[in-house]
Amino acid sequence: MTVVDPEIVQRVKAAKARRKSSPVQYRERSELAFIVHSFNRISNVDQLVAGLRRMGDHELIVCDDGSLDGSRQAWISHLEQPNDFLILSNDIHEIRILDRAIRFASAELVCLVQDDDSIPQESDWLEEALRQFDRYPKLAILGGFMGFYDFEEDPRKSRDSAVWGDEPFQFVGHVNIGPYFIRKRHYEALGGWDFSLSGAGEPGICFDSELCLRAWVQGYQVGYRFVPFKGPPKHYSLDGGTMLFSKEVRFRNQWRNHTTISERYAGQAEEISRLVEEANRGLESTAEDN
Amino acid sequence: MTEIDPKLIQRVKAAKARRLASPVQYRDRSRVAFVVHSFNRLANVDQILAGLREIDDAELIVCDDGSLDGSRDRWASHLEQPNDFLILSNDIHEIRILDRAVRFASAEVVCLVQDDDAIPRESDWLEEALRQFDRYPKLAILGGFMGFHGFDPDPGRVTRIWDEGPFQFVEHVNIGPYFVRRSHYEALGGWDLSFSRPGEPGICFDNELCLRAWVRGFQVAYRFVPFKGPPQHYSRDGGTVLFSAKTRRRNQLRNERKIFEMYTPYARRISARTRKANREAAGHGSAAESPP
Repeated sequence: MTVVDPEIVQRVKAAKARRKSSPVQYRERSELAFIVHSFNRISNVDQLVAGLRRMGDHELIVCDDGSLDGSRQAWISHLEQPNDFLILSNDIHEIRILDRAIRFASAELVCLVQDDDSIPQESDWLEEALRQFDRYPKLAILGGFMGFYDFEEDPRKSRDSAVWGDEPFQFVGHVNIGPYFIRKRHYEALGGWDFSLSGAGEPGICFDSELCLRAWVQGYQVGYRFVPFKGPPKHYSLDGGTMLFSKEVRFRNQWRNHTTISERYAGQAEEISRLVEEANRGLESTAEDN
Repeated sequence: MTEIDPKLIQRVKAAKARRLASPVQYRDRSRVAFVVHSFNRLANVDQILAGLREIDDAELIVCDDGSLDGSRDRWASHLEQPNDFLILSNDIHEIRILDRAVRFASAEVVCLVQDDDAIPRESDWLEEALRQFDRYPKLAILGGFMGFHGFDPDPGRVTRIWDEGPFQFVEHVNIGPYFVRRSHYEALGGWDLSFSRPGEPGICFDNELCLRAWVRGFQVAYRFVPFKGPPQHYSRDGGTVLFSAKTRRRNQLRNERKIFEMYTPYARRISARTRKANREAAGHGSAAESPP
C-alpha cells in the first residue's frame, strides 16, 4: 500500500469540513445541466462562467477537448462548486464528447453551449425554454440559434430559409446549435448523435439537425425560440473554432453530411413537414384558448 | 467574437496533424472501460497507469474527485491518448462520481479501479473476466476482491470467498476490481445514492447493487484478482479510513442495517438463484463449481 503524507490527511479533512459547512451543497438532480464544449477560447471563459452562474444553481459540465491556450487551467480555477465538473479529453470533437457528457449529466434537461457563445444578461430565455419543456412532454430538442422548416440539400440555401429572429416559440423541422436544449431521456431513447457524420477530431456539421429529423420520425418534437448566444438575429461570426482550426474538413463534412441527411430523410420529408404544421396548429389553438 | 492568436491556430493545426498521423486512434467502442476513482493517492498514480496501459483496446476514465496532493496534474500529464478522459469533480465521493462515469463510458463492460489498487502484470484476469461476460449474458457484476455466499445478519451463516478458486456465482461481491455490464447497470438504475451523502463513503453500495441484480433477474459472480494484494490481505489505510474514518464507520453500520431490511425478505430467493446459476454453469461444463 502506498503511504499518504499525514499533512495531506489533515488538509483533506479541513477541506471536507469547509465543504460540509458551505451554504452551497451538491444537488442530486438539478433542473438543468449546462454543457460547454471548450476548445482554445480562453478569452471567453470568464464571460461564460459569469453568465452561466447568473442563470441560477444548475449543473455545470465543461468539456475541454484538448485546449492548448490555457483554457484548462482557467476552467479549473472556476469550477469549484459541488455541481461543477471539468471533463478533459484529447480532441475527439463535439459529437463524441458531447454524447458522453449528456450521459454524464444528472439533470433531465441539458443546454449545450459553445465556447464562443455570449450568455445574455437576463434569464428570461432560460425560463421560457424550461416552460416549453414542461408544456410539451414530447419536446426533445429546443434550438435558440436558427430554425428550419425543411432540410436543404444545398447548405448555401439553408441560411436564406432559416427562422432566425425574435419570434414566439414555434415548432420547426430542425434547429442548429446553440443554445441547443435536449431532454436527456428522449436523447437516450433516440440513440444519441449519429457518429458517422464525422471522424473523431473532425467537425460534425449537421449532426444537430440530423437528430431533430430523427426525433420527428420517432414521434418526438423539435421547437425554436431565438436566444442571442451568437449575437443579434442574422448575425453569425465566421471565426468559430471549426472555421479556424479545421476549415477544409468542415466544408467537406458539411457538403457530405447535407447530402447524406437529404437522402436519408427524403422519403420522410413530407411527413415531417406535416407533423410540424400539425404541432404548430396545436400551438395556435392553445394560444386562442388562453 | 473573441479573437484567437494566429500562432495558436498553427499550434492547434499541428497537434491535429500529429493526432491524425498517430498509430493510436480513437475507438468508438473499446472492449473495456477502466474507471479509476482517484482521491489523494499520488504515489500510486504511475503504477496504476503503467498497469492499465499494458492492456489493449481499453478506455481509461479517471475521476479525480478533488485531490489536493498533485494527483490531478499527474493524471493530466499521462492521459493524452485518444480514449483517455480525466474528469475533475469536487469531493462528491465514490457513489456519485462513479455513477456518472459508468454512464459516461462507451464500452459495454466497465472495470472499477480504486486509487490504492495494484494492477497485476499479466492480463489473464481481464481476459477471463471478459470471457465470462461473453458466456453469461445475464451477468451484471463480477467481483475480484471478496465474494459472499449467503446473505444473513449472522456472519456465521455467510461464507466469505477470498482466494484463487475458479469462477463462480455468488450472492454479492465488493469492490474491487468490480466489473459492471453497463446496459444492466443502467437497467438496474445504478447505485443506491441513499447509501451515502455527497462527500461521504458509501460502504456497502457495491453489495447492494449485487442483491438488487439477483432480485431483478441478473447474475453476480466472483473470481479473485489481486488488486488489494494476495488473498486474505487488506491494508487498512484506504482513503475512506484515512480521511473519513468516523463517517465510514457510521455509514457502514447504518448501511448494513439498511441492506438487511431491504433484502432479508429476498435472501432465500437470491441464494436459490445463485445455486441454480452455479448448477447450470457446472452442467454446461464451465469452470463454475457448486458453492459450499
